Amino acid sequence: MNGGPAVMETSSLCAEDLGKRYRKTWALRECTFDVPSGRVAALVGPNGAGKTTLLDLMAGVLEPDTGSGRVGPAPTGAATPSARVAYLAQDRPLYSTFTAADMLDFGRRFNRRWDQARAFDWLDTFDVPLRRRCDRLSGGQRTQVALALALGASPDLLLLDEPLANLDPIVRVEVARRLLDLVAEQGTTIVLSTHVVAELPGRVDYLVVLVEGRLVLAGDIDDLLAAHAYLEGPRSNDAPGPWVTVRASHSERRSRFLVEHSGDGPPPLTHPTWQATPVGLEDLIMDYLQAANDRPADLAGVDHRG
Amino acid sequence: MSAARHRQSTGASGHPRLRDVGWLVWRQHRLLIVTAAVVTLVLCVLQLLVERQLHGLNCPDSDQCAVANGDLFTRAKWLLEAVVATPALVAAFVGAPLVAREIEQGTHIVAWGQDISPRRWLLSKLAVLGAVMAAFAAVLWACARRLAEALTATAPSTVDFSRFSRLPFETLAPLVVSYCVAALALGVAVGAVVRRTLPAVAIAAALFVGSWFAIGQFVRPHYLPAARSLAPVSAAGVDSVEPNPLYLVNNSWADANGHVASYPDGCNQVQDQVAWAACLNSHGVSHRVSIYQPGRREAEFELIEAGLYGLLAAAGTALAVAATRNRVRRRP
Repeated sequence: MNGGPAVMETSSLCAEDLGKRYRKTWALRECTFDVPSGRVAALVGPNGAGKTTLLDLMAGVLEPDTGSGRVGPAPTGAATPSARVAYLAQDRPLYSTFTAADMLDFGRRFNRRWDQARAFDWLDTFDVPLRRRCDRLSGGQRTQVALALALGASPDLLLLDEPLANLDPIVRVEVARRLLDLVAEQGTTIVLSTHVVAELPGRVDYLVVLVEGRLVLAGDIDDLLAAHAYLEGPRSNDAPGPWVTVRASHSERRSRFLVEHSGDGPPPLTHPTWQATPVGLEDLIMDYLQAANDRPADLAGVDHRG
Repeated sequence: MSAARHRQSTGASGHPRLRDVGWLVWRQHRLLIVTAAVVTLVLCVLQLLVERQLHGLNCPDSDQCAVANGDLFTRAKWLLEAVVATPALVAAFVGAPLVAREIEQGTHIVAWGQDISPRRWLLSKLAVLGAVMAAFAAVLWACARRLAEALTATAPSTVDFSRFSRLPFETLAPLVVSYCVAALALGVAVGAVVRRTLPAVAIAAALFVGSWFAIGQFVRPHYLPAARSLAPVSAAGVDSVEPNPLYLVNNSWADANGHVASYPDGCNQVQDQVAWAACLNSHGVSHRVSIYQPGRREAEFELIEAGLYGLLAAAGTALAVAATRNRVRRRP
């Protein structure tokens, strides 16, 4: 062993003007954000928003057509290799003739760092038969094998494409909990994609929202919640105050605006008929998704946060 | 999870180790390797059987012998053709799917998602598979050589197994080994560029067979500048310049100064050897010119050919590496 487990040099994920085009269609464009180290980031968006493309780009499976992505910080002083990335791809590719145990054997042999116990414990916990060929495993079991392979490699950055998608509801909760516990121990950065907003695990603390290949929102969740508020009052076309309106919804007599402001807490309102209320995460995401849908397609997502 | 069970293993500096790549190649391609072994074994046994039959022949009169044993000679030649054809199978079924199938099934994300670069992965797999295929080819050739030598010794001229022809050149020396290595690299390159298994298999086979044919037909005669020799036309006939040239590029006629002269058609009417020579001389033709590759160059030619296929293997490998470095995944 080279001095035992290395000091965890956690990585961050950084995208700058990242874009990917398939023929004439942009799957992702002008995507700029920065996920700090050790965070659990959720990549949220409807189907076809470009989540898988973004993860593919970050995993190095695809090459960007514009901009660049960076994984891992420049190592501070030490001659550590660049950040190690594990990627749970959407279709859970596994060698069909390999058994689950073979897949882990493969991981052990071809990774410089490998945690055999952790990988096998994972399969053990979720009752995945070790000696069965991967092409005879169920969709959920394939996900577990792919996860075990990713976790065994003890990556600095773990990219998970819809990690819970084909798991049953009970297993889902358990996987999410264990996954986040495991990485919390090691300070691993996680980026997980989902289109089910209600399913965001509690420990997610960073948010990236994509709609139609564009970034509409990105940032620390606490900061985002603190910087947004609902303003409710009599029906009007514009929200009161100098703030940026994300989305307006009107009933017959009243209007509600989701606004983005700079300060903490609800913005000071001068008008007594208006009331400010804080925003929940789910509402925030839904309103951003709705707002992007409300707008004409060519303008969608143009006025996103920097 | 207890600390004791939480074992971390750290790879050695020579990562990945040979036995790990060997494990992967065997685990992933064992069906292919077993099939190759069976094909090698079957072809070898058949060749040795035919070789024994050839040695058992007793052929005082070679023409009658050729007629009586035509089937045997044909079978022997077809077996040697089969040996020469095996590299095309290597290109199509071992080389072409190597990268193409990974990309098609998405497993390249797994293969290149560990602590091994696509380049290392490709080069180490190629090295191990190349060694395995070369070993099979060497065994196959050991059998083919015995058969080819038996055929050389026993076959009458009508069977056409002289140094003029392609087959003995390709089977008497271990060229099949270099063909196999080149075929593998070429197949891998095609697969890495095409990225779809089925078209890659077809293209790789066609490309290899095409290059093999073109090299044998058009390049091989020019590996070295041809020799030129003059044989005087005399009453005794024309001396044979070289009893067994590797290639006879062409024959023509020359005058006393060695300048090319056209053959006087009129002399064809002359039956008598002495009169024929006199007829040629009277038309100013005094020598026959042979442009040919001398038989003693055989070893050099075989080395050059092996080198050429070595270059082909290197080019294929370089192309495959360049194509996999660009990891772009094809979208459905």
